[in-house]
Amino acid sequence: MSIKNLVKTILDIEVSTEDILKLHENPQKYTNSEEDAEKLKDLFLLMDLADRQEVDEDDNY
Amino acid sequence: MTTTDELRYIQAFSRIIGVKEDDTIEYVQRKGLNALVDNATQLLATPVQREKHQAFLDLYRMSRGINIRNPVINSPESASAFFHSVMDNIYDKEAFVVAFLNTKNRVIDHEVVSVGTINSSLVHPREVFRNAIINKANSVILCHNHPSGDLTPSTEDINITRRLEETGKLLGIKVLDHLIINGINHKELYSFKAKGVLETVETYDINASQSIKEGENGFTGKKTEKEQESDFMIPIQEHTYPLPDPDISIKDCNSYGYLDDEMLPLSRERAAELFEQGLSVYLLYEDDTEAMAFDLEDIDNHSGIFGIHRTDWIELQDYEAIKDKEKSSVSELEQRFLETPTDSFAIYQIKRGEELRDYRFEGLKRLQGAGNSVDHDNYELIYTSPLTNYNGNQNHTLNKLYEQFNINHPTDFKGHSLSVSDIIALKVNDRIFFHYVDSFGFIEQPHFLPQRNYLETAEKSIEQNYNQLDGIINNKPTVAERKEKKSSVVEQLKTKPFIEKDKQKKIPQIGTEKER
Repeated sequence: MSIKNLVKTILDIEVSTEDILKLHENPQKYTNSEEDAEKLKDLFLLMDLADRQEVDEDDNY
Repeated sequence: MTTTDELRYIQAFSRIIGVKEDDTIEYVQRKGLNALVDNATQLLATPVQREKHQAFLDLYRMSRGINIRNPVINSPESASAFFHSVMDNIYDKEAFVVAFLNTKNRVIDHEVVSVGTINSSLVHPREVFRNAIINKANSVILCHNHPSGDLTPSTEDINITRRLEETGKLLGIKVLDHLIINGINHKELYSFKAKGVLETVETYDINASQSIKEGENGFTGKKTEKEQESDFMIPIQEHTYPLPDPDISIKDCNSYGYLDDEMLPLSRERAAELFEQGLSVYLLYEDDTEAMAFDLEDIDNHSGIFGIHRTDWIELQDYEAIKDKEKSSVSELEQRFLETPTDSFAIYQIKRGEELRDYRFEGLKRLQGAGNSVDHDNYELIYTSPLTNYNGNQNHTLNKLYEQFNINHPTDFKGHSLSVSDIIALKVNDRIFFHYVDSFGFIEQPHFLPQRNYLETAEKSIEQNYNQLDGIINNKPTVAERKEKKSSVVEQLKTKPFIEKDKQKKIPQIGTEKER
């Protein structure tokens, strides 16, 4: 599934790029509204937190 | 992760996936925070939640490589990019850097171990592994630069790599690769792993490491996206090893109510069998809990299903495989080498084990100085093959073999690269010469092979008189030989000397005397 479709499934918003790095760095540019950009930021926050949690878990291991 | 971060994580998860925050908190308390990614099935009640969660997992997986500070290393190229980023200011000197990775191959930290000429006294294992231990690293990647731009590894580079690889094995910290890079062209690199100099079975692709261990070939062993997806959805069914009990599946276990992926299900009979082998067996309950069985009575009294911890089962598999392999291969291989009529060579390496630590990679002088000697019993024959293109010069041949078994060894060679303390045996015109690989050159070991009857197997298989295992194939003729030599009775009578007839007559008399 493409990045666009995944984001659509998760947040029900449209994004205009398949480049996940660009979406992460500049969500306003690739979304239709400030509200959508906020939702996207929220999603990346969740991914960052999941990532940090994973690193912490490995460190504890 | 702080408590505040954990709460933010739970809130963000609940908001995005559409789950009640209280439900998420309760689930995290029961299963841990990681379960929100690894195993959230029970939390997700509706198809929409499940679809969103799956999409989140896919996106999360795709985004994992974008963390710049602590990147995930999944190829020699990504490792090279990381090392270039941390060695930016030291290209004019040779520098040795080590990256510490977690179980997901994400960089935890890195350390510049040495700047200046790289040699084994500066890049000491304790310097490399000290911080690996402190950082609780699962593996390390080594890297050094060649200011000249020539990426060809020196003998010292190879020796250091081998030494660190061996140390890593002892410490349980894998050396995933050793790279040589230069500051001239960022795209150029030399990977010891890719060139086969580093023998580790671990790969950059953490998803592939299990299948590689099971014997598949290939450098990265990358799976398709679809395969990875299915791994994540049904992780436990990805086993490439046989399950401990073919009569009961993971699905049966899940239907029963026990959901922990780390436990493999067993029937009563199989549980009792494994328990008697000394393995820890668990009684599994329908409420997703378990208890260890302490005796066979516990197993008899339990009416549900049983389980064995996945790691215990894998360890048992590996142990059995190693035992089988060792049993059949080493002695047969040596026998084959000793008996072959063709010019051949063999490589002996010191057996694994802590007790031979003082022998491994020791120069001969140092070894003998410590009161030790080169003993055949400490070695195992790792590889043998016909000697082709032998030009009569043993030293030249030894050097060629040393080079070959360091830089471009055959794919079926399973030992470590040729090194100090190994033995190279050359069999030329039915004579065998054993050479100790010393720090400089090779030292012949004329007494390496103990005086044993290495023709025992051959004698047993060829000769009929088993009681004369004398190291010489000197049996009565075989049936085929007898047929060949068979002549007519008349012919035999004609040729038989008179004196023999006389002897034949006397034989029964001797027998008669003995009977008395």
